[in-house]
Amino acid sequence: MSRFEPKILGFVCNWCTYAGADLAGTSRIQYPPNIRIIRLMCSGSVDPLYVLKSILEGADGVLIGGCHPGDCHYTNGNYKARRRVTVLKSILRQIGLEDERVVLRWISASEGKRFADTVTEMVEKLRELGPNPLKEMWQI
Amino acid sequence: MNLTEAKPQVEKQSPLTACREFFRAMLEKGVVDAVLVPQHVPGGKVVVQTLVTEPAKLENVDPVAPILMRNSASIVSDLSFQSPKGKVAAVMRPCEINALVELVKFKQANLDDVILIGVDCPGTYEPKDYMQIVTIAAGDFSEEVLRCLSEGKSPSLEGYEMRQACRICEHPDPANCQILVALWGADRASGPAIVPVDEKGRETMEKAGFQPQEQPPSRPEIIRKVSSERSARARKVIEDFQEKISSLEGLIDEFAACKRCMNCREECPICYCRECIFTSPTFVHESSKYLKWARQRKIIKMPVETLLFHLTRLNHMVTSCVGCGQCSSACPNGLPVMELFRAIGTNVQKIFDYVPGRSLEEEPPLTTFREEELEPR
Repeated sequence: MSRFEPKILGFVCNWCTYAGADLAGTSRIQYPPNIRIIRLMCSGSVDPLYVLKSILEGADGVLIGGCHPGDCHYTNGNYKARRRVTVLKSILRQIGLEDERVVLRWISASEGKRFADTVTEMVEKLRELGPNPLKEMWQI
Repeated sequence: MNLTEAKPQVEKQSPLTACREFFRAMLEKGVVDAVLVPQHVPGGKVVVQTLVTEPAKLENVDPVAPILMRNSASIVSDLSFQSPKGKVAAVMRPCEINALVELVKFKQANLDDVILIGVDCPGTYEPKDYMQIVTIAAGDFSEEVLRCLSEGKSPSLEGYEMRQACRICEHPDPANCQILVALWGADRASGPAIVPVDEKGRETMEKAGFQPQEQPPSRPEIIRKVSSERSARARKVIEDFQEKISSLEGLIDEFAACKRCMNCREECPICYCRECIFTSPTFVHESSKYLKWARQRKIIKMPVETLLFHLTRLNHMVTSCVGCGQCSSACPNGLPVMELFRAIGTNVQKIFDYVPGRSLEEEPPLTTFREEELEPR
């Protein structure tokens, strides 16, 4: 049987994580091709709705990438993202969905390696967790 | 007896006379320009919020009647998000004031020109139940409610149950008001005590020519008792519901009958967005999307995105949910929306040590942040 290939959606900020992902590419760092990236201006502009929609539509994992604390291009968007993701993960846990499927990670523009490691780590974790159970539920 | 003939609460000797006279005096002395106060509609079927500027139009005042058709926090928001161009005294229940406190912090209401008059609350019935009750209750139902309150009991009527939200409400007494209408433990003959809570309240009463009263001596003890009974019930209801939704299957099953009419959002006092994302073009999908989704999953429930709606609303405002239960009352299919929000809310609010409605000073968790917190995630 072929290995389960998780699908990850990445909401990454324009200023840090997107540039970090870019660096991973230009540095030719190898990482699993399981992530699809959506560039936003800031991790603070990630409405929990985007993450929920991804998960309800069957994404196995969601990465939210932002600047390190103190480095936000808009001063404090990443701090707000941190609170929202905390709430979101608490809610997911309470309804029986593994909150490890959602990852918020600070990845700067110089951290190509950290981006690659994050994706690798997520893919491994998601393989362990198995496919998103919501894929098999139509009555949502 | 027919309530249309009965209405003893409008007669001189009614225990509610003091309330009515106080509101009348505030208008007559020009302390306020308007009073927002629950009154019986002429047919006597229900009690609605009324905005009154004329002292003579207060004859059907009844802040005791156990019915709440809409959480008036949103009414006070409408009245005060811009200058009301006059002073308003708003007569409200504890859950309404709690929701209003949240709205003030979200800058959807402004209390500069508002005097909050909080009323002790026995809980409320669904409007459809209330309408039946008043037609069959012998005499005036509010009188009966007052009698129960004075004895420190919740009204109980065979065949009718109060709204679940009220049965598990830990706030039988209002907080954050300037003036309190104390009903728990109130003397039957003299009726409710009108008690100033802060300086603004004291000043208001003085200007209206009303002697400040003390709360009934037995009231604190009664409130402790009622609160702890309801808290115990709340814990049970919340724990049971948390158990039910602790698996995706459980949650989906509980909300199987949701058709995303969004009545819950409509009635929610905290859902203040003038333009909700769920009614925005974001959710006007291209026609071909539906077939695409159906092909992906082989089968999809229509209308789509019912669970997404509830989960998103939870994320957006559960931190400020005061548990008034208007969402559940508004649901045409009787879904446990209130239970969902209270079950999830307890844990989420705990993360930030936040109690909705507790204080005007505490910032709602999602409007602020600390530099050092919530790490490692």
